[in-house]
Amino acid sequence: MTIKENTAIVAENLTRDFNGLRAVDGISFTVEKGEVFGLLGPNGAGKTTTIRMLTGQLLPTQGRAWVAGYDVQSERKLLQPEIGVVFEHQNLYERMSGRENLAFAARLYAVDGNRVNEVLKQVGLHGCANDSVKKYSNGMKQRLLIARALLHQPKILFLDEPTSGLDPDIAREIRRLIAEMASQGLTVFLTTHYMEEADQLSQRVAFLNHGRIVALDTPERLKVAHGQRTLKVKLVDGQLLTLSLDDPDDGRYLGELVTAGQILTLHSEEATLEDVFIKLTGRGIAE
Amino acid sequence: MNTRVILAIMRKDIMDAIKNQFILGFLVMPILVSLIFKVVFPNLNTDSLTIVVYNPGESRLVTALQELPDIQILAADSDTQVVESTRENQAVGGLVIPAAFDSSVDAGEQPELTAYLNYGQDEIKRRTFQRLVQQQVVTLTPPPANIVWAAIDAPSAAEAQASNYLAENFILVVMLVFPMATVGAMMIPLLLIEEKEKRTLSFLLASPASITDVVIGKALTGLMYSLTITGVVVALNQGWQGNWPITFLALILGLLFTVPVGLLIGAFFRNAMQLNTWGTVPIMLLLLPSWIATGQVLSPLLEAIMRLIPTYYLVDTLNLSLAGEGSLAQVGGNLAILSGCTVVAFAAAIWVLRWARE
Repeated sequence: MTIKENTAIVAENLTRDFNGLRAVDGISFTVEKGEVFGLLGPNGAGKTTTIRMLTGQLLPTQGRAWVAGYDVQSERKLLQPEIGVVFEHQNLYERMSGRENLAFAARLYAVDGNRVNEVLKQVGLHGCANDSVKKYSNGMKQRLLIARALLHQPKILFLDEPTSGLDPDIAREIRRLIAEMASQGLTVFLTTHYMEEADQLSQRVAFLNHGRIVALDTPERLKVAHGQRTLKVKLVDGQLLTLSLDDPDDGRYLGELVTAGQILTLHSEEATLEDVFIKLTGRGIAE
Repeated sequence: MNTRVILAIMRKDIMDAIKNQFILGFLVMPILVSLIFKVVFPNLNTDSLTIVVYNPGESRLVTALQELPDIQILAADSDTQVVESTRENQAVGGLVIPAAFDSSVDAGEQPELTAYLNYGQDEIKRRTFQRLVQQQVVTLTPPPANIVWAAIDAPSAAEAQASNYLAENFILVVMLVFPMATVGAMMIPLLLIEEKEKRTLSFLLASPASITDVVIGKALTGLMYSLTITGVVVALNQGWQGNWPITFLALILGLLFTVPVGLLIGAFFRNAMQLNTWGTVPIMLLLLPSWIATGQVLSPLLEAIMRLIPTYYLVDTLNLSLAGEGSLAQVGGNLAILSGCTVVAFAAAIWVLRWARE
């Protein structure tokens, strides 16, 4: 297959079964170079299995995928230096220090030792690099995971639930780091079940439900296509109304209310990705 | 297979393993036991040997023995005095060298030499004395003189059977097998299981490391630690006594056998708790022959059962080699079986790990 020059990831009918159960069911998509692509879905939807197949950790039962131009099955060795992976679990060597963790990764990837200090500074861990990882907070561990993934300067970064279980402040800081990396031209493949996070970071998102992609587009187009543009109206008598901007009758009624001076407050309320997901799958993302 | 990656994993594991108190305990335990053993049996470490000699012809054999370090020669006036003086002076043994010994040797004859072994002295010293006499006689008298070994205060047949395997040999064999069993059945699996349990294996497999690199890195770490500890235990317990080349060969084969056993165990168990709960079973099985098959005549049934455990062949070889016996012809079968078991265990480990990966 010919991979387009500006394509970072191609998945074709990617499928994976575990003991007869289908975890990922024939998904196909492409990710452009420099794009932040979000794969959204509830727990158990097949997000991590997809990442494991794309990063060469797991062989697909059917289908094929190319990452950075390499076949994930037959060219795994060529693929590994081109990708960085931040895992859902904080899989660090806890008895070792932050620096030792990165030094080990540097040896695996044949990276110059000076790069360790660079990435430690980049993620703000330089001051505690010699402390045992056991003593790190969750946020520090997450930053160390990102540092480890960036150490060998990959072209594509895979982030599996990067803010899962983190405090809001730390999650915000991690999102800032991801946005900063994306702004430097790195291709980012992000899985999350936080819709706001995907909305904020991703240029395109795919909804994964029971191993299948049920929608794939930019967050704005998905919201427009599947959501409802509504207004929340509070009247002077305390009554609350929800009016659709796409319904001509609601539009006329709104005009009458304005003319009659009966409106106390007026708020536009666009659909969220969560609304779109519920509409498409019949279930919430947190289920 | 990527050598750089394997060495990186090995280096990481060597440093990380000693930070794990559980692993550290297993590594240090055989050395601690050896040190305690040295305190309990201090006389084992006495290298000095006293030998009583009746040497009417002033044979050069005695001169050669005198030149050896830590040998004290006491002269006797007669054959009978050799026995008495050996007993009185707590010498390890005595030699009665005929007056015409050197001239007979020079004439190409095989003169007879009587050597007394004092069973009142400890076994290690006795064997050291035997080895010294044999070595010197072979060196000085080609073709070798005919050595007639005689006993002073010889034990009864039953006592002799037991004394062939004195406590020190029993403990030495146990302590040589112990680090192999613990490193193989506990440390190597723990290194693998930790990677699975802490999910660092996912990181490794998403890096340039393959599952083969990971497994070889763990195996080399285990082998390195096993070799070091076994070496220390051998050094602390004078394990180079007897037929040391065979002892060395047996230990290397034993270490090579326990590595794939550890990999197999590591592939089967999912977490450290399972390993801590059940891991002692394979350790006990591997150690069992060293407890049972040393210093006792086994019943046919028990021997048949022991023969099902590969470390039996290691223990049997060590028993012979530490006692100064165990020619290659004698222990070749044991070593061949141990090598065969190693090959089978490696094949099984690779198959199981590949199967688990898929």
